[in-house]
Amino acid sequence: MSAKKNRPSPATKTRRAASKRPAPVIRPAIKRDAPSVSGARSASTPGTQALCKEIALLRESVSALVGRSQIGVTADEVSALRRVLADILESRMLTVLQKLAAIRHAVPLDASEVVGRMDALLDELGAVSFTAERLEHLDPVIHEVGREVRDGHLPDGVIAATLRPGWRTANGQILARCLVSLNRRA
Amino acid sequence: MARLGIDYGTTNTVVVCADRGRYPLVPQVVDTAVGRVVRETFPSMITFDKLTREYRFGAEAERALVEPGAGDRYIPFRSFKRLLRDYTDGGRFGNEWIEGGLDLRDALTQFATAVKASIRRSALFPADEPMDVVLTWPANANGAQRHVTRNCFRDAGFQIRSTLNEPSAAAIELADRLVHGDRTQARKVRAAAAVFDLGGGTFDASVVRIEGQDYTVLASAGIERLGGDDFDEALARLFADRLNIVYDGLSHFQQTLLLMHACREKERLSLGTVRQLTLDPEELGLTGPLCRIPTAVYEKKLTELMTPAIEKLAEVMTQAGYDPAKSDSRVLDAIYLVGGSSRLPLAGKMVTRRFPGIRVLTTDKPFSATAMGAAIHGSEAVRVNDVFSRQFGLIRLAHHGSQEIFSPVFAAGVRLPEREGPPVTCSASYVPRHNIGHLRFLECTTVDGNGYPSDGVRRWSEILFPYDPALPLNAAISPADITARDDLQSPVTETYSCDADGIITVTITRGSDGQSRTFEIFRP
Repeated sequence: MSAKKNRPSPATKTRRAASKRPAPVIRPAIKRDAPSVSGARSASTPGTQALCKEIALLRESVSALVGRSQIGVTADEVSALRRVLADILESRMLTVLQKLAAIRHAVPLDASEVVGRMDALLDELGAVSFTAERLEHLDPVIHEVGREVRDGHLPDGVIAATLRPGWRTANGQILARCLVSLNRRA
Repeated sequence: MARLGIDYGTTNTVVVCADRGRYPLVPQVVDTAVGRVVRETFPSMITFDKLTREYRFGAEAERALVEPGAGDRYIPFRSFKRLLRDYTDGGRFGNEWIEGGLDLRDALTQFATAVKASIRRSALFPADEPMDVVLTWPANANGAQRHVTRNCFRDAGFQIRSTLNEPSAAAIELADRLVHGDRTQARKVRAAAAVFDLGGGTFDASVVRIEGQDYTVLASAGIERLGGDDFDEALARLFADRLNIVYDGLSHFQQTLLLMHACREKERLSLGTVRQLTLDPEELGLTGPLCRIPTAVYEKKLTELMTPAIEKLAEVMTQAGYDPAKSDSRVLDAIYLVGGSSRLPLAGKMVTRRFPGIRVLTTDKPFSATAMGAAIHGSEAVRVNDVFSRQFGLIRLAHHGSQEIFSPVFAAGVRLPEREGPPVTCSASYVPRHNIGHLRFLECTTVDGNGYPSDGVRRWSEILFPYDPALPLNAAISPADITARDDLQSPVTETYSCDADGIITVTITRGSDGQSRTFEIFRP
């Protein structure tokens, strides 16, 4: 753990990259496809606040670069940096995000205030929400049936309403499927 | 050349690639109404469309099941891989629902082709780049399963560099994990670990000694039918009991939907966020109130199911020379929990309780650890020295033909040859007592105290060989032609050869005229 602390944080690396010159070769600081257990621990033990601060700094760095895009930073470089940010967020936070999404899933449908707060936290941590369109066909990849309704005016097997939005990471990994009500014709 | 590790699992298939010293997961890209989303795994489920007589794979197979009228149109095979355990030449499946059934080998080849297409869709590799693959399979997979899996992936266009037992691949990933992904340090790791691999369909336990780039499997065994699928079924049956319906009375389609729901509830339990598991019967087209099962009830059932796995691990540790009762953690560095089902908190608790003095590590990559180990094996100079985890032998006639006995050829624990090295061989000579030899090969997980196969018995192909020199080697003979002969004096020699993939051939030579014939013991 001590060796880890001595290393510059991803945020510091990005700030340095931004201050030296635009468009350095950006290598994601992640090691692996999925977050490590140690990564998940570091998110909770020093405190989520510290991590949120780190994320905020990263976002600022990206925004700063976007702001400077007229003075030499190309769109490709900005999008590369955005990808790095998404990678870092996902590698550091995926387990936390998944757990958070799972807890949210366990909250009853009528507890909208609790869900609202958790949604705000997911948003803060960089996750992206999505909803389902009415009359859309059910897709088990992104939708989950929370309730079934019987509406004779709607076709069978289509979505009647979104009960709770779904969440995914910036890289497109589904954290929580969108909870929908599904129309079933008797 | 794309170098990949593929873990073809019972419920999920995972692909990891080697990329300049890093081993990222190859995501499955799925187009949805909210844009492209990525998944870590490619579901191993296949669905057969009765209308078009075509298969659907992965996410498309799951999507088919929610289409209106899906129950009449589609036949889902959720754990298709389990069918491979009973594979025989020309094997078919689904006879209950489709007249004549479906060709198992053809279905697996099409599945492998779909996996390949999914890899291409990830856009990580140029369209025409060949795919060089290390393929994994359960340590206790039988020879037929290994043979058909390897051939089908090859037929799908993958170049099979080598194959690897899943726990051995997990051990390679463990070394990487111990040094936080520093490959330079991973090449210097020295440790001994027991791998507890609880996947979707099978359980494997292996004790592996890691010495730098050399991985030696000291002992290995498994349970053919124990994994997440069984845990899902246990929960599905609990739901059915609560709803006062007979699980076995449900249609195959309804059972599949119930199992998929049970799997999702189990996932929630794995994340440790629920106190009860729920089912809305309307999802299955049934009526009734919301069904709730306390997690304690389900965990009691899981404890019963997992106990044999824990005992199997203890057995393997004992075979490898580690006494689990002493719990000497200085000798065995860790027990490593891998496989999707090892995410269940109960798995870790039970292992810790059974082996209190040994460090228990749960993988942080429950789905991709095996594929990552395979990818490392394929791109670095990692040497794995594996062992037979099953008994292989044949039924012979003893006592002048009055009694049948099981004669082991390669016993469990016999070391498999290195990939570039010579095969492991074994010979037997005898004077025949019949004009024709009828060799009935089989393999099993264990033999009982009397030396008879007792568990996980799988028949291999049978061979008829003319001992009588008057019969040509290629004569059309059948068991009905066998007669007792006491005038044959020259011995017959059987020489068995096993390659690095555990695939066995036998050469039978009759001493009377020196003629011999080589058989692949399993010939799909």
